[in-house]
Amino acid sequence: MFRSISKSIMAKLIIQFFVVGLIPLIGMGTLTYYLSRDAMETEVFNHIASVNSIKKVQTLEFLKDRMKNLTLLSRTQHIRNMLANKTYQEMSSIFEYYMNVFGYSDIILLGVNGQPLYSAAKNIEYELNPDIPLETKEPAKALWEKILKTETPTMTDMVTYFEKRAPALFMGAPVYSDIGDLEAVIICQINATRINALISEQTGMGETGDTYIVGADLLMRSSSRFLGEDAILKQKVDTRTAKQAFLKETGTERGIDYRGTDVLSAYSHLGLTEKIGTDFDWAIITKIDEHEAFALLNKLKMNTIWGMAALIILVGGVGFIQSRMLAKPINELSYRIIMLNDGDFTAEVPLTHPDRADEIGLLLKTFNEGSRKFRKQMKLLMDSTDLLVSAITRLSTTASQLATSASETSSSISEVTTTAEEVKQTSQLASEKAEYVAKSADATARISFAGKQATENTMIGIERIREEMNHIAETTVQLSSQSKSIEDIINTVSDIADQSNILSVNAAIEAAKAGEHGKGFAVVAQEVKILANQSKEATNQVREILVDIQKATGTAVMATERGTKTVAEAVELSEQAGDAIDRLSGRVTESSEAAMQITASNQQQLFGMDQLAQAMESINDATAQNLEGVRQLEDAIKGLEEMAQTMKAITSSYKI
Amino acid sequence: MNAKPHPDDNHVLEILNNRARRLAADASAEKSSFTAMTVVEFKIAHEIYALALSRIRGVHPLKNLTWIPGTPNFIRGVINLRGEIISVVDLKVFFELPDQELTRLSQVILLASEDMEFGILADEILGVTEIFENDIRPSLPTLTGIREDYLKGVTGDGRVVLDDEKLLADEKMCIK
Repeated sequence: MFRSISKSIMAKLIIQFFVVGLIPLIGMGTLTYYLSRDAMETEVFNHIASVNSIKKVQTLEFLKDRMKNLTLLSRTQHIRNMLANKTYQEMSSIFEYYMNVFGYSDIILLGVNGQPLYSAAKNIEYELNPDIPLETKEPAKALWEKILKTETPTMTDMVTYFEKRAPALFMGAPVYSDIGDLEAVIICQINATRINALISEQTGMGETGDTYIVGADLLMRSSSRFLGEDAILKQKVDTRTAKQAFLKETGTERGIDYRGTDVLSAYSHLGLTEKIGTDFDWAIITKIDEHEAFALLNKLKMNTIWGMAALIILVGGVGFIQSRMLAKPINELSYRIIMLNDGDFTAEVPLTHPDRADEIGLLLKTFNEGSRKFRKQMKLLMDSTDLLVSAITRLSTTASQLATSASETSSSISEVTTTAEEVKQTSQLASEKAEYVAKSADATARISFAGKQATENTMIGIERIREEMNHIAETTVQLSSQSKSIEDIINTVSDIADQSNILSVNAAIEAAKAGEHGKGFAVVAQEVKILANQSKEATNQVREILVDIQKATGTAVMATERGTKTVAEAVELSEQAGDAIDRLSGRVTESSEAAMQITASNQQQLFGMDQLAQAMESINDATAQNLEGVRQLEDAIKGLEEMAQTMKAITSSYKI
Repeated sequence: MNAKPHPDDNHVLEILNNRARRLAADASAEKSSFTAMTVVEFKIAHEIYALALSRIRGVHPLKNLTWIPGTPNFIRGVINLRGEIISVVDLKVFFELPDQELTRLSQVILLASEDMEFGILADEILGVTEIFENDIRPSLPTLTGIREDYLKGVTGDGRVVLDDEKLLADEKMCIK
């Protein structure tokens, strides 16, 4: 719970406001309080110490005065005379005066044997009235015994001498005769109320300021303002302060009084033993209740607390408003940033104060702008991722193709290597062949010379052929003209056959006209007709043969002409052949030289092919490495592809 | 099949001789039952015509044809035949055949009756032969026009037999 609160910046700010505002305030208040308290305590202590001191001196002075007066009275001649003459009544007025002036309750005279002689308060002469008991007989007797031993004036502690009588103390002094013998003891009774009146004068002590005397038995010797007078010798003051008072001469301290109340006390012991010579001592205690002593302080405290409460509210309010002003936008911002962190980039801080010009306003605006820009960039990034994915896919395909190509290249290189080896072998073969060619070229040169002579002979032969051809041509032309004559003859024969035919028809007609006598003639006419037809057929056959002959002659003429032309061409070709053979001879010589060069080149080529083979080996190695590289590339691209997929998954998980 | 019969196979020879005699006897029987007609066959424009021999005076090669103005167009002209002036008729024109192309027309067949005489132009004279009258059938429906009037009929082998009497008696031939 505290952690979650302490995490909130608003809580932190509020706490800081409180810490900064309140710690100094509380510190100052506390410091002031304690300083005031110390000052006040000192003041109060001084006050009660002075009161205590005054009361002590007053008490001491009172007792010493009473003691001196009693001593003085014991030494007077009147007392001696009175004792000697037993004239107590004469002295009663003097005793009365003493009692009134010095506040003695009674003046008692005891004889040397301790017997009571006279009591001034009731004016009783005990010798004359032995039946009347002396009420204060016991304390008086004790004092008498003491004085008898020491023969000096002394004093008893406060005692309750008779039932239901107020406590009182007794002073005694020896009375000497004229000759100096101890004749009696004079005792005066001082009631506690006298001292009480002296002590309980409370002027300037406020409402709880109080002074009282305590005896060694820790019983009160004077009453408190909170108690009645009957508290004397009854109320026990069993406090540390009271005990302390008998150990030290004087001091102040805080403590608890007989009522159980917190008080400030000043104490001192009276020093009766030293000052008066008693065998007991008293302490005097002045105290005031803390609540009264520090009443002002408490008031201050209360005022301080109220002031602080007001300040806390003020500081809290201001702190809350300020923290809210600071923390609210930051909370909004942090919420948006958490959204951003969860991949939601639509986060924009609502601007409740759009014209806020301080750093936080600027921060929010800048965040919104940034968010927008980021969104835009994210969109771009997502698009880019898509592009990247497709590019990587293409790249992957390309890499695969590359791998395939590399494999193919590798195999191609193997083939090339093989081919190179083959080429090497071929070039070796070529070298051998070239040598053979060089040898052949020489032989060819000789043959071509022979060819040239043969060509010349051929030309002569062709010339003869041309002459013969011309002769054939002439003969053929003659044949053609003769065949023309034959055709004329055939036409004549054909005409004759036609006429014979008509003649036979006419003969038949005539035979028919001759009737029965013409029958034989009709047969002759039929025979003539048959003959005519045969003649006709024969002429037709001859004509056909002649047509064939004419055709053959024409062909022969044309063949002769073509032959003549061919012979001319042959002459020309023979000449060209002669030239060609001449040139061939030259070329063969060149070929021979070229073959030699080819041989030389082939040697170089062979060497080159060796180098090529080595180079191909290196390329093969390189290609193998290349292939390996391409495989690695493929792997890498596969990795890339996975990365791109991951990236896409990441980007698609963002909301923009 | 064409193997010669054995010389000593007299039986086979006898059978064949009997068959030949039987066939010959049948033919003579047919001949006797049908009237034969001797005709001259000739060709005009690839068609073979036949004319009875009775009115034909002779056949002559066409020579020195002289055109006579003022005559019908089917008369091509006249020739001098041994001193006689004979008009020459082109049957293609006369029959108004659609095919008017010029053919050889190198022969003339001379027709004559008691009061009429003219020559007919022919491409070629094929000869004299005999036609049985029962072999002549009525003219084909295709042989229409003027020609139909001068036909006796058509033989089984496609020869057109002309009626010489009608030709000679025709008024058109007589030039007024």
